[in-house]
Amino acid sequence: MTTTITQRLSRSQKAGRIFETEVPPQQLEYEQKRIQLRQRARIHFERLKFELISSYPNDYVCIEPETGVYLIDEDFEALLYRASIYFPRSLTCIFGINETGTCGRL
Amino acid sequence: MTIIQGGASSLSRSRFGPGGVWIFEIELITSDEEPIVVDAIFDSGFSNGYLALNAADVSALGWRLLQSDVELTTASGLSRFDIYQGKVMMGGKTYLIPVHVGQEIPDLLLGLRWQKHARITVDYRAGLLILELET
Repeated sequence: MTTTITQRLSRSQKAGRIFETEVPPQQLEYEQKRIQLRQRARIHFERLKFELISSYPNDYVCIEPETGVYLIDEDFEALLYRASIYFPRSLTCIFGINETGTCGRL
Repeated sequence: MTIIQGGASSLSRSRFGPGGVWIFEIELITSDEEPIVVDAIFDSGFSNGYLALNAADVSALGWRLLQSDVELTTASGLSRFDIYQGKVMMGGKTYLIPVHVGQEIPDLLLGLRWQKHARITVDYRAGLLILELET
């Protein structure tokens, strides 16, 4: 999200450039990881969807993509905090339990 | 009971904006405990959230990311939001709330979730716009 502008070095690698702008490699890596994560969580969600819609309609589900472990809560805010307690180290994905997986409107 | 109310005084905290939008004055608290006073528009179409913010503004606040890639239905289809742990001050009280951060949000928006903590009284013709927060 942030692009760092490093100060001009006297011996710059790139000729003709005033500043060297670069996106930190760990950030690009993180973005990639997030997209992959979302796709994997989506697979779990599609599998669980119909079962969950019949038993917990309009609740929310938080899926851990690595293992497929999930938490369900009727309250979005409560689920956010529960997720940070149950999965303190791993990245998770939250879906609304409906056809599209959306968590409300704006 | 904390009350945010507009009025004739110069200390007006809420008012009707152009087109009759409901504007409340709130303070965003950065990670360095620095308060920033902003006007937020109450959006009755924003379900399930307290505050929505543009992605460009959130890096300056230094808030912690709680959850990324939550999808919401917007007027232009599905849109992705990140949820940050935000700290805001309303009516002299601080609240720790989840904040929706998206690329396409033009203003600061207050959501319907505040209904759980506040009573909102609106009478446009009498010029009344009151947000009563319970203690």
